[in-house]
Amino acid sequence: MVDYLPDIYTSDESLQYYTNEFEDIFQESFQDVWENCVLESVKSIYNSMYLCLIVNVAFGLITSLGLPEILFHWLSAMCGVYILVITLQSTKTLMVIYLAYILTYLIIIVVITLHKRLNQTKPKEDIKRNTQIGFIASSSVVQYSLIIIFVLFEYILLDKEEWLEIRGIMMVFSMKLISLVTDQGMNDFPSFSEYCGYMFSNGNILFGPWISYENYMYQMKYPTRKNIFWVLAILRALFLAVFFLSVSNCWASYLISDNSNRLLLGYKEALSFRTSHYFICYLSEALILAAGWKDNDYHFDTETWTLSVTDPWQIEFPTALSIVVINWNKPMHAFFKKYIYRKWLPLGKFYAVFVTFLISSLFHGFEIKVSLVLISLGIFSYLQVLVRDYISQTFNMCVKIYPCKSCNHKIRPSSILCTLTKLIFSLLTVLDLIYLGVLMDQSTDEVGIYTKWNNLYFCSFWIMLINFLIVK
Amino acid sequence: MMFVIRITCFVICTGVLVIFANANVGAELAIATRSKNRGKGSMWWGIAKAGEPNNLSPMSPGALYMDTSVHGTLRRKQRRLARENTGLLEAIAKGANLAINECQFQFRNLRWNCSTRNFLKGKNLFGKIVEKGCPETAFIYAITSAAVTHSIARACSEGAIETCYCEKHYRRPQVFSNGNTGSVTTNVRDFEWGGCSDNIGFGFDVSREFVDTGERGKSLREKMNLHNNEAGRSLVQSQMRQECKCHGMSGSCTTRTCWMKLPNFRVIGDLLKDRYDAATRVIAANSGTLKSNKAHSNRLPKNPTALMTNSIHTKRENKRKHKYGFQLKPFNPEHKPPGVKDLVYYEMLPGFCEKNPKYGIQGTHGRQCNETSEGVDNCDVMCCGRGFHSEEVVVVERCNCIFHWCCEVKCDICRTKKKVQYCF
Repeated sequence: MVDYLPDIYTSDESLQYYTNEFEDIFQESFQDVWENCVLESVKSIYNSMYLCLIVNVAFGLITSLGLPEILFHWLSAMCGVYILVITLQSTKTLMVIYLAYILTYLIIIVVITLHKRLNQTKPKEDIKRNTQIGFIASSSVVQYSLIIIFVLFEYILLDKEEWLEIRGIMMVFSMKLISLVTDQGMNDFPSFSEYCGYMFSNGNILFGPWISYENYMYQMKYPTRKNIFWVLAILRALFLAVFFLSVSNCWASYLISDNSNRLLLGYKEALSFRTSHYFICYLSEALILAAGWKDNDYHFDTETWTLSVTDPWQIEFPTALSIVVINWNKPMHAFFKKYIYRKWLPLGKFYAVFVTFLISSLFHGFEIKVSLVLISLGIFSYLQVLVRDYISQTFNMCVKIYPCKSCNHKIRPSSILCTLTKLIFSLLTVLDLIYLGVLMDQSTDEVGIYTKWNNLYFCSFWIMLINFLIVK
Repeated sequence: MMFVIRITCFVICTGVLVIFANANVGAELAIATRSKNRGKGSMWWGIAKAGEPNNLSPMSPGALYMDTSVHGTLRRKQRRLARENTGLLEAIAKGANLAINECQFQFRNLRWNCSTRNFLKGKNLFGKIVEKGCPETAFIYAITSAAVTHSIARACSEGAIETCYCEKHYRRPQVFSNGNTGSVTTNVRDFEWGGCSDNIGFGFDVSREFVDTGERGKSLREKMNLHNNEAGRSLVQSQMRQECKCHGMSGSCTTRTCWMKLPNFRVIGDLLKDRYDAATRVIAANSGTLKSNKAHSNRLPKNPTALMTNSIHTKRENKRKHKYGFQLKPFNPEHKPPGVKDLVYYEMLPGFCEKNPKYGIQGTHGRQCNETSEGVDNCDVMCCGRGFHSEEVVVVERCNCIFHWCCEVKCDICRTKKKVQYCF
């Protein structure tokens, strides 16, 4: 069939026809986004992650047979090392990580043996020196030295790109190390194989989530049975990971066009960052579930496979900043609460919160934007708690973040006034999240922090100021 | 029932008509290819008009290639490329249309409005103006080659061209991320994360093979065409990129995902229009063989996406440089030599005001202009001082739009009278 009519094209109408038809090309269509962005992103993450997943699933299946202790630890460590090798791109960063892991163990062991020997030989004379040496292995010293090393990495020892590549891994490492030193102490410090098994644990070496040494050993002692629920839980986490990845890379910028107002643009950037975080959280959940670990509380419940890392619902529709902070990364929050916040609590609540966020930012190598975000987050959330307590008291309203159980406020939580106040606080929280989230976008390095916040009129600072005045 | 019969009748009639028309076309084409005219290398522009899906039956893939009229416009090498790469011709046809559209959009307010004519009468699609080495021609060459690069790359990532690098390349990335060759990987690691990073390279290469193949002579004119083709392509390449994003705990970069970011072709059109406004007038200058052309030395793209393909380009570039014994030098010796992305020309046309069949210029008679505008579409400028007349036209527009929560916009339809000016 000949499908071709030449003379049509000479008329003006046909020109009009072209213009209309090809106008669509200028707009990125749903189909374009799907093909160019979503599928590409998924391919891209599949390429870098499928081996990790296979390794973890294999580990999970093998360990459910019940391995001897030493084999379990070494298998875990070997899988972890293999994952590092296939994920990290440059040898330098790989070397840095190995050195960090191994050297730390050597230092701690040397300190511990010295400590013990001194204890045995001259128990009385050297008590002072002894405690000094013992102090070195204590958790606070480990913390401080880690912080110093991290800041050195960030600013002196490594290129920015190299540091960014391993920062997440180093953070998981440091969380594990601090909890290990604090929990086990010097007398009960694990052997080299146990140490390697825990620290290189294939389930969480890349993205976390942090699990305690106890939790790690639990899986060794009482291996979990793998069943259909296990498969379903992994698939669910993977599906959610891919979904949030596509939102982060593609849909956020597709749905909010570049010429919307600055608040929406800010929301787009912040959303993109948040969904990227959910993606990492769900990916980490999938990986650690695949390797066989799960929430300790459900360890013997064969039908419940869960290890909740994040709760997007609570963050996307927040009631308060502190709720966001708790649900951002639950295991990490548990870690900070247990090992840092509690330790500083005697100084007072505000100082404890402040120091926790400060240390958290130091663990990020004290990078300026991350530190700004974290410290503001700490202050904002603390102020918000105070303001709500204050309002709750003065107006006798039930608007506290954690609803009180035995109080008798005059205005009940179901009343309109109460709902409205809560709604306002929710909206302010969303605004805060936009304000802080825009900094985490990659564009901050080019534009600068000041311009970014200036674009949003420093709104959160004004909110904070008002909060502050109310509390005063 | 009557309706169905009527439709069938209509379809049959048009079918017959089409066959007749096509027979004539074939004959005409034969004449066209025999007649010697300049700009013969750009005959392929004509396929813009052949790939239109407005015909009676939807086009099946490959149908375009079989089309005799299309075949006639192509050179042997172009035909070979089309044969070897299924789907390429469709992409090129799409690209050519994109170019025409964009050209007409960019020049809608200028005296020369990038009008196209029926190529089938043995003439060039854009008319005789392409026989001249003027800035407008430079723009036409640049935008067509840019559009072809753009649409090939797009077709590539859509999987419409089977031989695209992308698919082949795609299975390779793990070699790099395995880290088995430590020191080497550090250099290329950034953009080897899988995904389709090479379809730009494919678009660039194929577009070069296909578009430049016509420019075989050794005159200044061929050199100019090649330069402008290259300018269009380079601009697309510099605008088209792979975007990557880091993922990891609190903003670290443990893993990253990449995807293609195709620019809006309007962006490229705008950039090329800027280049047209600042086009460099050049002359041929004999030069020593040792001196390297500055224009080509800076064509290393800043974008590391093209790292791999780039080395191939530069090699080929050198070969090409030696083919011509001269270089393009600015007409005004005080000006900078033209860069890779600059448009070049060597002659000016006397003007676009009056109809000039010699150059295929239609003049601005009867063109619409704007009385109140201060730009180039102002009536005094557009009509070259000949004056204009106003007409009242009834315009149907959407108006009084109200946003209804949520999310609907409701508008009334208004008929307003507007004054429109036309040149004498």
